[in-house]
Amino acid sequence: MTRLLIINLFISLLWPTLNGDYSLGALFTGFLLGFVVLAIVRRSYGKFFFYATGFLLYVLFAILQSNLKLAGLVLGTIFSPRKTLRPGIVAVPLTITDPFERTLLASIITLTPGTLSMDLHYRDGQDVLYVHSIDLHDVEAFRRDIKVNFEDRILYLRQLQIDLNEGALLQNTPEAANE
Amino acid sequence: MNPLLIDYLILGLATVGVVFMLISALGILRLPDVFTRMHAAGKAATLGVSCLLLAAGIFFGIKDNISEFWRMIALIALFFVTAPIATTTMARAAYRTAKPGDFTLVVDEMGDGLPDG
Repeated sequence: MTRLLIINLFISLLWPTLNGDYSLGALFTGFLLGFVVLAIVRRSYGKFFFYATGFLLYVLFAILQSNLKLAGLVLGTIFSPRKTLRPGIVAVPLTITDPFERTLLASIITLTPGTLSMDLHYRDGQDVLYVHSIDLHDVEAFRRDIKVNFEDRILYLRQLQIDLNEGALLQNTPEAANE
Repeated sequence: MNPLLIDYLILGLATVGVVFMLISALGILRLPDVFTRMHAAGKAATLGVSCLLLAAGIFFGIKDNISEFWRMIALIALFFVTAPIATTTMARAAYRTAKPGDFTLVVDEMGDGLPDG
């Protein structure tokens, strides 16, 4: 993973050198070319970055969507006194264990308006993330939403990364070299 | 691209940003407790600021130098990385230092999980 990224950066330095054009655009073109070459050589490298970019776009879209939803909710609450919010704190049990991925998940939850991650505790034999929601109707559905929308996607990215690293190990074994 | 079209794009982005900031200011003023107000503040932080920065980036990117645009993109990225950490810390502190009855919560699954009550 890291090794392939370093090779990619190396190719992106090579391209401007061969062209004699030392600009940011040439560096970027070099990076893209290196990415394409490496993605052909190692499929999982291209796949990982493809899904990582997709995940980033998905998160941005989710932020935009919940922003609009929350704006409607806030305006509705302010201008019609009859409608009240139903805020609540829900415990979401975590499957992911890696600290970086947990930080990522908690940050994404906080970035989407309407949900706010509050604390992480060890409870009843598993780690639990407490999430505050501004308008809660179905606790189980909310819990499932967070797990399906964000946690499963991060887990899938994790799996792609593991595939990539195991592929690198396989290539170094003598059996793979003989083929 | 058509300069007039770009002008309208900049105007549109700035308007969206300002409108979202207005809504979140209203929310901070009128919503009942700390957490709901923080939700409203988060709205200004994400969509409001990023729309305004994007508008400024396009405006100065065309007028002066394209690097201004990338600078604004970097600012938005940094904002998205740092903002949730502060928000989470504040929410946690608010919950831990609160008296009973400070918040309106329909469900509170956190209450019995705290080690110090």
